[in-house]
Amino acid sequence: MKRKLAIAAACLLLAGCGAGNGEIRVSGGKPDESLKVEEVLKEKDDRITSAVAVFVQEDLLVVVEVRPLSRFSKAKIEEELTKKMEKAFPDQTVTLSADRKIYWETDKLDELEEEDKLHKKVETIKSLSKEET
Amino acid sequence: MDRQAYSQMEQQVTPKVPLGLNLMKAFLTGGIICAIGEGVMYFYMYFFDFTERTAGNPTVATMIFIAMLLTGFGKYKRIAQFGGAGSAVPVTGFGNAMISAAIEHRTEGYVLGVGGNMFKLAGSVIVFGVFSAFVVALIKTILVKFGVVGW
Amino acid sequence: MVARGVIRFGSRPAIRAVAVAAGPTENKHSPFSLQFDRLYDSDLCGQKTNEQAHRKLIEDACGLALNKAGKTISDADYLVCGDLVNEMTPSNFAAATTGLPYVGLFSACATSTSALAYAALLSEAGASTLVLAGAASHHNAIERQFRYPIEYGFQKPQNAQWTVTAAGIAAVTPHEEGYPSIRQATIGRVVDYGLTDPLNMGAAMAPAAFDTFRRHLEAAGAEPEDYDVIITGDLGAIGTQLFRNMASESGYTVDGDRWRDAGKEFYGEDPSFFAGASGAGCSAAVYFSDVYNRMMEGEYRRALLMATGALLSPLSFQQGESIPCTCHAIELVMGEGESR
Repeated sequence: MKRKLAIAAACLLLAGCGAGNGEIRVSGGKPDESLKVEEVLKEKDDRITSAVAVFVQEDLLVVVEVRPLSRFSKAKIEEELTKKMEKAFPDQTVTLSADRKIYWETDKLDELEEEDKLHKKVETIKSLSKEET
Repeated sequence: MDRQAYSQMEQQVTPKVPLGLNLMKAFLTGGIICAIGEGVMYFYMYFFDFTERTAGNPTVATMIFIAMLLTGFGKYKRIAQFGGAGSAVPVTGFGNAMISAAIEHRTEGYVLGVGGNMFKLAGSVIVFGVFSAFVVALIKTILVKFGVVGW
Repeated sequence: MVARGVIRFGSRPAIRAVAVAAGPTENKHSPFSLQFDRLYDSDLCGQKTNEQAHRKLIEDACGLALNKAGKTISDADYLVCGDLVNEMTPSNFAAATTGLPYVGLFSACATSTSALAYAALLSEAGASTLVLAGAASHHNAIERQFRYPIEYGFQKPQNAQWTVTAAGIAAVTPHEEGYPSIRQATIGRVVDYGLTDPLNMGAAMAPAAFDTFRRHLEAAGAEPEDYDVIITGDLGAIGTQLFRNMASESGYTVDGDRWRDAGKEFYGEDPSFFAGASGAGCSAAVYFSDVYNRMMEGEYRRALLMATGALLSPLSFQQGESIPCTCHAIELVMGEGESR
């Protein structure tokens, strides 16, 4: 029993430490835009473990994963980053979220090829992120 | 034997509540219930269009539903005997308080029995929940007004 | 008058027969279940509500006691019993079913012995040839009234007690050879040591038990050794310990087997019932099965039954009142039981 518990605890610990590979992935934009996104996200934050940014026409979707203990101030982080992004990309409509659901959905965007479907999906994501309760 | 001597003797004989052990058990039970809740929430987020913010409501409903089944099958009181506050504090405890009262008073009819007594135990949770929310909101409003904190 | 509150019965009324009806928990967990006369598989006993089941238990016990005495309901003169439900409705309904002249008694869990005392008085006064006396309780019906709903998750402490589902009825007749007879009764005073925890009733009741114990022994001029058994009602593990401590501090010799407690033994000291059993049916069920049978077999020749009761109501303890307690004692003797 004790042994099993110890093994379970070790697994949990390892799994916990393994999560969050700290990568920032940007797609659909020009190379200089990608760099710019990375700069904005990196500049400040050790609170962010990973991020995905997608450029779709005039939309810019940015999703970030926040470190567990920083999740309490998730709303604040979102607000700050949105402001910065909007400053960096004044021509794009920025949608920034730290929500896991939005993260998953945005992450999946790459798989979609057709312009039509992509656009529709982006609209869904945007409306999802605006839902209040 | 006078009262004082007796109450001393009574305290010696009555077994002490194993506080440390109970805390551990409560932590474990509460933790497991919350982990299940987290799993349910991920389920709603993964398979349906719920975000972290919106998945809370269906999750709470599901947890109360599970608590209802467990209460009806007579399992929840066993969990509670082991877990104590760990099973009472999460929303499942609220569900249990409500449903156990409803089952209990079924024999007095639906209006006076079930309806009238359903919130006999859970009612105080609602009253003090609403009241403390009001107090906290009041404090925060005042603090924001004086510029101590932001929203 | 022997002493204040002590009644010596010159005519020595006899307990002609006893019967116990009990529920499924008792069937499964009580070591006394083999001696019970009727056991049900369901808490509802085939009725619609727990309160009806409660009443059914009393009716059954009455019928069985009469049967075992070889009598019918028309031979009985009175029904004296009580329970813990508000206004004692189960007993009242059962009395309506039997159609007997009825007195409802409330001494909480001490009702079994107070009913015996009352029945013995009726018999002593020559007012009756057969009195049915007893007490009952039903776990679900009592818990909902005094504590929480049955299915409510609530962590019970180790000193909590479990209300039994059982009814015990004795048929009391004028003296007859070959049956245990009632020699002395001590009516308890209400003792309040200021304890307030309704989940630790054994501790609240122990001083009452000791008070009655001492008064009874003084009036009888006896020592604990003169009795084959001194059995308290439902003090439970903690209350029993406290009662024994009080007795030994006052100079009585406390020795193992002679000192029993119905509540402590009722579920075989199973830890899942915490400190033991409680409820009006607890003492009645043990007195009217195990103790009675051992007297009939001649193992016990002189027994002291001391049922204890905590006279609280849900209202009184929520208002922060202490728990007043009482204890009524009955002394049974077998055969001549010459005053030793």
